[in-house]
Amino acid sequence: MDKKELDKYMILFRAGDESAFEVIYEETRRGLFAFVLSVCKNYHLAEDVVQSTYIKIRAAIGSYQPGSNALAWMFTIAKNLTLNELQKRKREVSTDFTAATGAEYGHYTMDENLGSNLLDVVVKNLSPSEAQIVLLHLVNGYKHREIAEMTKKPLGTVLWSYRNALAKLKKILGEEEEPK
Amino acid sequence: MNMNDFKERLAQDFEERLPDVYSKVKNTPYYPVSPAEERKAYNESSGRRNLKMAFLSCLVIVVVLASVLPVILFNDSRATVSESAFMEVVVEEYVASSTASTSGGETSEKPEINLIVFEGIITGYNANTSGNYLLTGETVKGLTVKKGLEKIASLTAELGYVGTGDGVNGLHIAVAGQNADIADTTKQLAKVAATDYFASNNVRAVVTTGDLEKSKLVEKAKQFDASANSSMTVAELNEIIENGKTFISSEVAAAYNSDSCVKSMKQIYIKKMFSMLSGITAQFVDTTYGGDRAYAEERVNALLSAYLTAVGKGGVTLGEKSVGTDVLTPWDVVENIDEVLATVDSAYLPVGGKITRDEKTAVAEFAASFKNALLDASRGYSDKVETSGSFIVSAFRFTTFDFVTHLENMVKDCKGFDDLYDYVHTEFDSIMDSFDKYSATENKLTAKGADAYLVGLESLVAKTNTVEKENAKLSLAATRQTEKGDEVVWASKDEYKAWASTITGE
Repeated sequence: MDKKELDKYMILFRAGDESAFEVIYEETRRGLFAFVLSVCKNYHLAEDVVQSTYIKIRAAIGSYQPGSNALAWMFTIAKNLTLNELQKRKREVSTDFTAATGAEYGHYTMDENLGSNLLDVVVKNLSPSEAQIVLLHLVNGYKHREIAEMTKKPLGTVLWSYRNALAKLKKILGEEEEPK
Repeated sequence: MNMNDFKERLAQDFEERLPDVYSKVKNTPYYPVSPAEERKAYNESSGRRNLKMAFLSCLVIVVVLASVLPVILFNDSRATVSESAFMEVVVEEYVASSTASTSGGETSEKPEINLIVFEGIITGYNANTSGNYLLTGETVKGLTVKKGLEKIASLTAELGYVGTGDGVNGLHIAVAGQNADIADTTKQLAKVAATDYFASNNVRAVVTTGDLEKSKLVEKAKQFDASANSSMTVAELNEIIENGKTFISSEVAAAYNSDSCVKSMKQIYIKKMFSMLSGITAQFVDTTYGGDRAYAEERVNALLSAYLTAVGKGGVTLGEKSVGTDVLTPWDVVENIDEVLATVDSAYLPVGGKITRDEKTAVAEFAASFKNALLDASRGYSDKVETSGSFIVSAFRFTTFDFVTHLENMVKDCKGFDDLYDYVHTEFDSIMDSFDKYSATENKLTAKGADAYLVGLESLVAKTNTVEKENAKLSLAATRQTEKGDEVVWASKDEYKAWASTITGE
């Protein structure tokens, strides 16, 4: 679903069409989960935050500006809620997602049960920013340009982070496992 | 593992971990926007898009202009008039037609128009009734002298003023310039443009030029400002005429059916002022209290109550005055709102708890905006009075005093923040909706045609018609005559300003 179509459903929901919310939810839940998980690196916390994000979206739908980027709006809400959650847990967390690596950043909330499946590897080893880009691009199918818009980062930064992330994964997974 | 396999496995892991929270959130409340608000929001959004497009268009135009301007300037350094000039364009009959238009003893009026020039044509207006046909509205405003004269020449031909019959007609262009060079440049630009148009369109017409006596320009300026004189420059005289032309619209409009229009005008001013105040209040409630008007009201009342309690205990000062013992001026509380808020800083309000720093800032800003809005309203009105001196005051006499009295009473009433708030809240019970109400009232008035001010203004702003202007001037003179006994005139502008300042409290 492209930006315009999502905006159309947002307008419908804003006007009181509850069924539009179901469509919005289905279309965005993967992206939101990927986004939040990348930051907090904890499945349970990510689930809570995603849930809170949708509740917040429902409550704040009146302030959504038709014609704007719905996903960027949702991501902003999600980001704020994630940071609130992390702060609530009295963790010292840098808000500069691009600078911190996964190891430096995520140890405060990182799920101790993260295993060796590929998602765990991505979440555990990449910085929040890198993990976001990898998941949004490879799992959710967003183009780099769209990710740049959603995350409010320059396209060049997104491309550069993506390449860095793949290089890291290549090293971690070894020659046999590397993504080519 | 290749990229496709990696992607597939990652997606599979992701789907396994992806939570489904829909059932948990679907029953939480949400706050849909009504269809009416939805449409409004959409229109606003559309407006922003239009604005964006307009901005982009302007940007493109600027870029294009920047690239072609040097070429234009290089090729035609005399294409613009760099200083002020005043131009009179008259259709003249040079060789009488055998079927003369003077048959029956009536002479056809020669269309005459005036143009104020600075680089391009700043504005143009008809100097007589027939001129109206050559210059309806502002058709030449913003054009270069060349384009403007081409347009005027084409109209004279289209309307049959030139190039028809067996006589020879044409245009006479008389110019008064800021200096001789400017006058010459303007004349040449105009003459070449009109001559070229006639020649290339096979219109039999001649174009002559001459100097416009400065005394004639002074005479025109005196219509709008009695102090205009020959020692003024062409630019200064042009400014008087241009301002006078701009102002004459509302002046003329007010002169129609003076009784009803003056009343309407008063209402409009007051409504406009309160729509402005309501906007400020609504914004304050929206930003500070999330649009919760009931809570905002309770909160502000609690704040006032705490303040009044503090005042009741004595020792509260505002600026250098003691509250309760000294006489306060209308703006004492508003100007010292920080002190008011400091007084209740430690008070625990029964509604919503202790006042927050953000709330204090918002209240202070609200009070300041409120004051500025009132002062702007009175200042704006004073400017109008001042622009035309006693001439306008006499025409707007009732408006002036009714309006100022209303304002004065309001300001006098507002001896405290509570008064200020109550004034808005109680006297205008639906202050929050007054934008809509104001619009509805305005539409209603316009639709009924009952509002002479609006109807007159709209019609006169759209076109500059000499006949209407003359009629209006007569009406205005009659108004002055009938109200002469009550006319209020100040000896000087300073005297007027001093009077105004006592009203506004400045």
